[in-house]
Amino acid sequence: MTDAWGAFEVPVGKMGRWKFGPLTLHALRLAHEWRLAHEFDEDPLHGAIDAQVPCPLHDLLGTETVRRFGVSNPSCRIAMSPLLADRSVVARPEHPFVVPPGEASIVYVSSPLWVRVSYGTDDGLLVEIPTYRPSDTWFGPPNRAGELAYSTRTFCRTSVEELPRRPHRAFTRVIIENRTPLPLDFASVSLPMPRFALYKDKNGAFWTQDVGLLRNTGDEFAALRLDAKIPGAAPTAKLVTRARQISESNMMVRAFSSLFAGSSEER
Amino acid sequence: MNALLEQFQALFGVEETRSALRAATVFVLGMTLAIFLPRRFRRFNLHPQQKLIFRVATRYTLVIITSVWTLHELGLNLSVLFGAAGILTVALGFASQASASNLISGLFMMFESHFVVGDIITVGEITGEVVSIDPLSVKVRTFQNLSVRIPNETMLKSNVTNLSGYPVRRYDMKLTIGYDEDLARVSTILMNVAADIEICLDEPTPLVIFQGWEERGLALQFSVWATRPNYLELMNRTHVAVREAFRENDVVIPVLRRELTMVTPAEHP
Repeated sequence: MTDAWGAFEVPVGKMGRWKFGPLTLHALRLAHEWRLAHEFDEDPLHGAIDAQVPCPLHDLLGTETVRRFGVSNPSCRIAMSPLLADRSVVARPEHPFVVPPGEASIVYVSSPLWVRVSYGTDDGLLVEIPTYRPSDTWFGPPNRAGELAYSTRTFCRTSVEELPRRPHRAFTRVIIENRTPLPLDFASVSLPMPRFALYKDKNGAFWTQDVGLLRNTGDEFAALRLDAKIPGAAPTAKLVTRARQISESNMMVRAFSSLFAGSSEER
Repeated sequence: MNALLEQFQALFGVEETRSALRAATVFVLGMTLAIFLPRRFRRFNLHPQQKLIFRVATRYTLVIITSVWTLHELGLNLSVLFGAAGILTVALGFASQASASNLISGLFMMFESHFVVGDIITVGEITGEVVSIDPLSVKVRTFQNLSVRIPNETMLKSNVTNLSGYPVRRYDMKLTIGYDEDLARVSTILMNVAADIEICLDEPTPLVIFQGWEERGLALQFSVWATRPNYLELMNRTHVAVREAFRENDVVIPVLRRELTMVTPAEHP
């Protein structure tokens, strides 16, 4: 199995196929053109990651997602690099997850990676495609105070050993601290992906920086703290991609603890 | 030029000619400024609505100042003019009630700013994009690319729906299913449809509401949310996906059927 991340040479008239979990990507190099097409599997957690360059030719123009790029650069180099999502990702636990009063808990949340397809020696951008297109969601009240995000379900795994190998997803360690006398129902957390950098450990797993979620007595919201340091669960991980948006270190972002309390009454 | 000036002076006198020249200069400069200065607002990084307000306000202020100044330079006694203007205003007021009403409604609307230039609004039967909010009327470009002028007074008295007011919108799909269908099963099918459409928002959560017993069957409302740009696409995709899901799961959408029997007069004397 070949690692699908990295740079490849696709000679003129040949085609390459890359598989990033649920995403299958085909690229055909023509004399003055790159032709790309992609498709998604049904299962978002499908784990295989593979590359076949060159691969058997087939007609990409028959596929729905085909895109043609006219280029003058004679280089046959095409590169696949991992990126984090271009919007925040709202993670909701698959099963209710409660942090008792005075407790702190660590959960691992995974989110799909994006593939940046670039060409030539200058790494000119062709396209950015998610390895799986998550569903849209709205985080916050349904007015201008909210923001459009991607939605993901999380199993809220609590130890690194339990984490499945998914080289098409990035893990974020979320440290939840409940300083209130009441149990904290971890309903959802919005992870500001564009502000995270992406790291890769020696096993090929991708990581983001840690996130701290602190709930104090009397706070309507839990404060979200982004840790500017390297991922706590993978201290030897190497930086792969810088954050899409520059942010100050240890910035505070509000996270809504419960969403749309009144929405069920809206008819 | 000098000969022309001398002719003027001979006709009207030196002082009058100077006044006329000053008035002409003020008029030309003032009007030039009134035309070109408001255009400069286009370059500023402001909302189209703010640009429009600044442009209109500047233009009208400059035109009024220029007119008054020009008349003053021509030696007209402005207090007399204002007195006359008072009487004229009363006369005009009667004659132009509708315009005045529109003008005042326009001012209220500008302060209220329920919608701005670029928003999509519905007023009565008309739905379209607000192109401009003028002192007397609001210009709307409909989706059929027709320009509609709605008087401000009408706007103020009507229910105006701003479709661009919030970034997310809900689409309510009305459905009828047969009396024999399992409501819980249909509800699950519909929720799965919503989950499979990626532009359908997870939050606010989609809703299935039972609305009553109807002649044809059980009436349901299936409500899904999308961001404004995706709203139309969601509408279409939801219909297609629901139909497909119902077909796959053998959920029947009842159709009202009427049987007509032709009877000959011999059978019914």
